[in-house]
Amino acid sequence: MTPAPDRLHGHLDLLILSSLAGGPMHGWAIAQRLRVLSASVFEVGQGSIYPALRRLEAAGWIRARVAVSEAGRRARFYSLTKPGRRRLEAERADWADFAAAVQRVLDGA
Amino acid sequence: MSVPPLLRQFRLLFGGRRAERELDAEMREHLELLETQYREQGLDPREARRRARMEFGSQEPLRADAREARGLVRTRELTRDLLFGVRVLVRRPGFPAVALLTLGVGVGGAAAIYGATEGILLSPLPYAEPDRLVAAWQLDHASGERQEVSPANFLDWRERVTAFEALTAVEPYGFDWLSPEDGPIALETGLVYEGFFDVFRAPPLFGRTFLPEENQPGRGNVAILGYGLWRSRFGGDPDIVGRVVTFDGEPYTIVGVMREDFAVPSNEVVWAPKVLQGWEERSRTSNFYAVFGRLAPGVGLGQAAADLDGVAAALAVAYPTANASIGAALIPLHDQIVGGIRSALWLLLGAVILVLVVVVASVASLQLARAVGRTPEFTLRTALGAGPGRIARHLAVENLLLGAAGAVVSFLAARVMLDGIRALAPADLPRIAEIRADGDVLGFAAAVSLLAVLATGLAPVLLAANPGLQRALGPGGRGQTASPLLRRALAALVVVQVSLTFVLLVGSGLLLRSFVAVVSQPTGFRSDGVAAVTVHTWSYLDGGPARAGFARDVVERLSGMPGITAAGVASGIPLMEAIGADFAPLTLPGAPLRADQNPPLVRFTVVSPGLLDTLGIPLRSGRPFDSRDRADSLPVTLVNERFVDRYLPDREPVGRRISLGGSLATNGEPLNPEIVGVVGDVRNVALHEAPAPAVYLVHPQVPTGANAFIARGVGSADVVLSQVRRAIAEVHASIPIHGETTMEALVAASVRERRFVLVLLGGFAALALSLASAGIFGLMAFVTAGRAKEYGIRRALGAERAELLTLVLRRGLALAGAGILIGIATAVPAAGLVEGLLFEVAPLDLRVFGLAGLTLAAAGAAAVLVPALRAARASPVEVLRVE
Repeated sequence: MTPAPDRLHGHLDLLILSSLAGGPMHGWAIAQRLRVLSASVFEVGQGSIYPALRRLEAAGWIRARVAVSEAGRRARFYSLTKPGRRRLEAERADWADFAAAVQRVLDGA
Repeated sequence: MSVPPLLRQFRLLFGGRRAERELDAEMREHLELLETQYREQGLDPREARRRARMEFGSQEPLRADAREARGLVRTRELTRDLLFGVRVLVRRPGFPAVALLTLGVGVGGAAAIYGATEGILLSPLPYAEPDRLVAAWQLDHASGERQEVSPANFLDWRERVTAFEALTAVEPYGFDWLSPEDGPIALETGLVYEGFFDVFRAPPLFGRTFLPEENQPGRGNVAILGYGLWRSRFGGDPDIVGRVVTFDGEPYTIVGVMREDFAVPSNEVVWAPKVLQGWEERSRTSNFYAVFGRLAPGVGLGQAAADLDGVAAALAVAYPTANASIGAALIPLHDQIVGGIRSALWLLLGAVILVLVVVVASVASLQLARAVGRTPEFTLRTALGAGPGRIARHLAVENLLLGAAGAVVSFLAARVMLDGIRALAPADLPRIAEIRADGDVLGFAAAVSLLAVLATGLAPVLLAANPGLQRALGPGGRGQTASPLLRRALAALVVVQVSLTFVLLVGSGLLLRSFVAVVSQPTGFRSDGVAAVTVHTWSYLDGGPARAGFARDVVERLSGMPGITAAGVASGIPLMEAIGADFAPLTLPGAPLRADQNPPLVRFTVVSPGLLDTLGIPLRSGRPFDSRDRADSLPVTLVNERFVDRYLPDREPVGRRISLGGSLATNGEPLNPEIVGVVGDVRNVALHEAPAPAVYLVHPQVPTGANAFIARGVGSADVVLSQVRRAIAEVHASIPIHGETTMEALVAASVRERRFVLVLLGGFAALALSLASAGIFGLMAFVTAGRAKEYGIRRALGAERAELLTLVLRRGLALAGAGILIGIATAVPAAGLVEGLLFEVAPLDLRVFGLAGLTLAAAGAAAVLVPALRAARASPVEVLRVE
């Protein structure tokens, strides 16, 4: 299938939030995780996570702290805030409903 | 713990530069990592970089994206949009200049009128709980007239009413005072009853108000100054409290100064405690108190009026001789103060609304035409990548800028015009001091300007955001005409303007005809070079002979002065109600009254023999007063023509006796003068009020303390005025001047209110007319410009120039005609509303309606002439070349 950026766009926030559920990560790591876990389906424009990170930060769902990465570089580490965690749960539930609904329609066809 | 949202937003906004650096660093790092990864996979450095770039995506949109995500974009782009908006507006200043001019004059004028009406009509009186304040009057059931209250009636009212928290009274008086600047003058004075200031709950600016015991005999030598008087006559001295001032030859201690907005009856007065005189407690026939009250909590006006009516009815039974026909009337204080000017101000407020609609229509058509004219610009910008939302935002910013500028311009214009209104307004316009360009006016100007621009700017924004609508409205392509939809919208706006202008023209026309009718009324007296100075001699000259002697001496001295052609003295001045307007009950021998009839009251004026000549009041028959009429000769009188018409229509008046009672009676015996002549009618009350029956008595026979010395000279009235003052001072150095005026000033003052309303409404009508003309011109210019090709083709097909000219003229005039028809339909009911302000003109005056229609048609024709000529000049060759 063709990885469509449009398809990703609406869910990028959810994917980033869920990546951070396991603990603080920096941008590179988040991008690699998305690429690997989605088996390269979501590979389009790794850079697009940065605007998303800024948006989530502005919304108060994640916060950034500058720390030294494993590679010994200074990097911004992102972690979930409390509202971010709630948001993730809500988005997860929405996604599950949505996916299930789509699946039901497809099965019925 | 998370950062509070506001603070976070703040940090993101102002830490913008740093955030951007951080973002760059982060993205650069990511790219480097990707590049390294590819190099490690064995790609050559250039390919690795290319792949990394591809995978990461283009950085610039990402940066923009991130900025937008931070919310930063709003301020940054707003600044840019603002600058862009300013540039667009300044580059082609025609549109904003016209729009601002329209807003400034239209909204500014409206805001000024709003400020005036708001201050006078709408804002509550500056006293605590003003709704509970009332004025109480005696109501004479016989004549239906309101009159001041007699002392004994007031005392009984005050004692018996239950629906009032308090009733109080003020007696108009004049304190004689030696002014350091002007010599002896009389200060307008209010002698006030206990609790006067408490009724209004009016605190003083300095000092205190009166104590209850100060209304007792021997305690009353204290005074409170009105703000205006304190400023004008006492230099605004802040240490005035405690100073002792001589009024009426007695020392009075100033105990307070009232605030500027306390004005009962004005703020140019001095108040002193009323110390009741013994005779007043029994006096029911001389009525001179102004009575005010505060309703008890929870009591309505109707209930209080019923209460007072009951008291008055009981008094009518108890004192039938004086009170038989005397009831009471209660009027809300606000109504009493605003009274006469109310309908005029409502009219102006209505006119304001019409003008505002015309202004908004103007701005709307400017906006529409401009938006359509800018279609190519929008198309270009869309092609260059600007989204519809972005363009709409630009337009919104432009409109905000324009609206804000409009608000400033119209507020400034409103301030200037309010000053004009104050200068133009009659000096006795109620609450004039409360009018100022304050927050309300600013708010009005700002709100209306912004709303007008934003509301009318909506259309272009919609246009920009909606390409479909843009196609529908805009010129489809080269040489095509403007779309019918747009033309219809513009035509509708023009028709609205024309119709409302018609209404305003009719209103102004009606007022103008009334004004002309009023000022062309014969006053009945000469006013050129005539001046009058009033003095009251009661406290200075004792007894009739002394007063008569003083008056005679002043008149004699005056007559001897150079340049004075005639001089006299009178107890009252025409058109000046306040001084000596005196009435006496009249009976005619041979025409006895029925028992239930009250004798009619007739106005009498006591004059010296030369006075009628001074004022140029003509003698119709009989003889004038002369030196034969002495204090000890038979009493004589002159009557006016109206008197003869009313009371002696079929009989020869000269030689008849009449009988005058009231204050003219001595020891209960009425004065029975013989009519020796008939004189012309004088408009004593107002120019628009028909003369009433009046009689003149001669000075030595009826000595009076109220003396208006009137003189006519060859020079200007102002010179005469100073001569009169000098003559008085030469005869009696310390007698105070109560008032002075020239007769021309009096006549002008009596029509000032009428002129005030006329000028304002006329200004509005002129403004609306010019806007409507501009509207017709704009629309027809727009339409003909779009049709240049059509006209060229018509010419090529053989149409004459004259035909094209009439074609366009007809179209323009049809527009004006439609507006006029709608205007007539609107003006017919509207004219009825101004009926109360008209004089000798019917609301549906055909001449006014016709002239308004003609004016508009002419203005329309003039406006359409230039576009029509342009169309007629269309050359067939030109059109072909353009194609």
